[in-house]
Amino acid sequence: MSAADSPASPVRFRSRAFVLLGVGAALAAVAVADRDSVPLFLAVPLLLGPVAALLAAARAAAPRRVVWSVDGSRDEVEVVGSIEAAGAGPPTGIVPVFARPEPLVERVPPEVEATASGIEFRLHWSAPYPCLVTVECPTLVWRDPLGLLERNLPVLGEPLRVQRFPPELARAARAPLRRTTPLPGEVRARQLGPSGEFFGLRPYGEGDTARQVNWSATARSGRMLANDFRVERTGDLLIVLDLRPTSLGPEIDARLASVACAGAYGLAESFLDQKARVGLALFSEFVTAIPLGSGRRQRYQLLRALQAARIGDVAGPSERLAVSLRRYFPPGVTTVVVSPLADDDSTMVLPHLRRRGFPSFVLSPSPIRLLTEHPGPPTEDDARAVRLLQLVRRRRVADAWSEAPVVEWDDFWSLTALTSFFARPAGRRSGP
Amino acid sequence: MNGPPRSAIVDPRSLRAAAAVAFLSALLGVVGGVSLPVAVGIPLGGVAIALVVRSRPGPVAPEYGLLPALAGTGAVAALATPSLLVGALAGAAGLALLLWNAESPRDLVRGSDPFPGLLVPGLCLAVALLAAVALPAGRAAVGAAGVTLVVAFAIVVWALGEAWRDPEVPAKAI
Repeated sequence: MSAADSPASPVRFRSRAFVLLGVGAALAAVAVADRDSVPLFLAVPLLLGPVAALLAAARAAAPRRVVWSVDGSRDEVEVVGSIEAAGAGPPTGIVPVFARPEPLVERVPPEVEATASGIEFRLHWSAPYPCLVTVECPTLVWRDPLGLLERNLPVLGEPLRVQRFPPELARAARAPLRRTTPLPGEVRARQLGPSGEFFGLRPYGEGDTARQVNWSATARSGRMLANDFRVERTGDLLIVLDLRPTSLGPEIDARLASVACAGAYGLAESFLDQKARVGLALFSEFVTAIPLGSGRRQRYQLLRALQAARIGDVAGPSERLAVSLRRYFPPGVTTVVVSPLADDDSTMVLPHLRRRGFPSFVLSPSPIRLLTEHPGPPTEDDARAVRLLQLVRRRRVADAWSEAPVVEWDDFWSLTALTSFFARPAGRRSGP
Repeated sequence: MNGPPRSAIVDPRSLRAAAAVAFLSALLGVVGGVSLPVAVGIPLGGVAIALVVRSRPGPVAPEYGLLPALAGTGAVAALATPSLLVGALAGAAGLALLLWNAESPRDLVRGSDPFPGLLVPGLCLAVALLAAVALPAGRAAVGAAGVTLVVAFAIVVWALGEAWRDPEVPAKAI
């Protein structure tokens, strides 16, 4: 658990206290001017309420610890947790304030219950499309009985990371990846996997098959152990995110970028689980690259980079991407270009990548659903607009296919098209 | 102790406090000799507007939403003819306004019970009412002494309050 995220703050009056004081003072002035005692009697509680609230304020507050986790699958985001304070007694007058990050939406009102030792909560959110977001620790506010004073309480706890992407990405790592030669001075780590020559024992992990379990060693040690095998190589994967602004506008671009980042992270996680090396390139005006690597540190770096990824202000020329990639990645690495193919210019990166030696395919989240979503039943004009958009997109995808295979990602919560693309020989067209 | 559902427009506890404010303010006007339409209409209108404003989403509405009710009650109090009963009703209306102001219907968790918070204002109101009954009227010196006494009392209470307020931090953490 990290150190306190939010320090204790001094007691402060809320705006409603100033309203009471102002009205009370005005009534007192009226009473003096009119020589009338009735407004004065009305003013007495209004003026003394804030004073009484000050008397109730504690000088210092014990830090509260937030223990929480995220649950749910697909678009459901269920945040369950509790706020506890050791030795501070019941949480009298403490109100938690939860910051819901975009694009999560509230599905059902939160359940918050004050218990003898703390506050238990359950937040029912949903993600309208795949995303990687961080939920900051809730703010705790103490309020006096009259609600006129408040103070922020110190909170101990970690921010919560929410990652939502199609579950099919877990099976994506079956794809055969190209092997690349190391760069000068590069030393490869051991390549371990589920098959090959026996390398050693490790604790059993989720996802290990019964065949991988070393039953003799498990019986001797009393805990589940699995075999690790030294594999020849698992391969390398480069994920390129096209974050250039498009004609769809900043809002749609941002949503598509969120979908692309979530998909990229799911893909990277899946391949990292198989001990493959994964690299990342974010392309807006210039290229931001994370070189090929594996392991938990690489996974964390990729997550941080993808969470911070935003659509750039200026679109860089397509050739710059391919030229820059050669500085960070060896040619020949299997390359996934995650791009919505929203403009004709977006397909121009593919020939440049091919010429620079990056065998690539495109994972293309479709913007049509985002462009046409609106409340109410669709009209005839809507259907016509959708048809036109589909025609335009089909033409653009066909153009892209002349350079590289394209996997269309229409339903954001399913990537069956990608897994079937990996399962079939490259070059076979997927999607409609 | 769950908070009220977000969809509820008016919190029931707020409604009780609002009804108390409306009733006491109207009674204040009626007993104070204000014409019946004014005595009833102004407080009811103020309370209704305040209820609507406070039910609106956003952080500003609950903070400033009570102003119409305060203005309505204040107007009736200014129009009322002074008497001990009218003064007591005005004080009670002020306490009811404090009670209503303590409500934040959109908070996830209820704050602590607001009634203990009314103790000090209620006691001071009682002292003021007793002073109005017992002390001789028409002498400026008595008024000045009363004000000085109240100010001194508040300062002493504040100072003692500083000493009484123990830190909530556990001893081992100090």
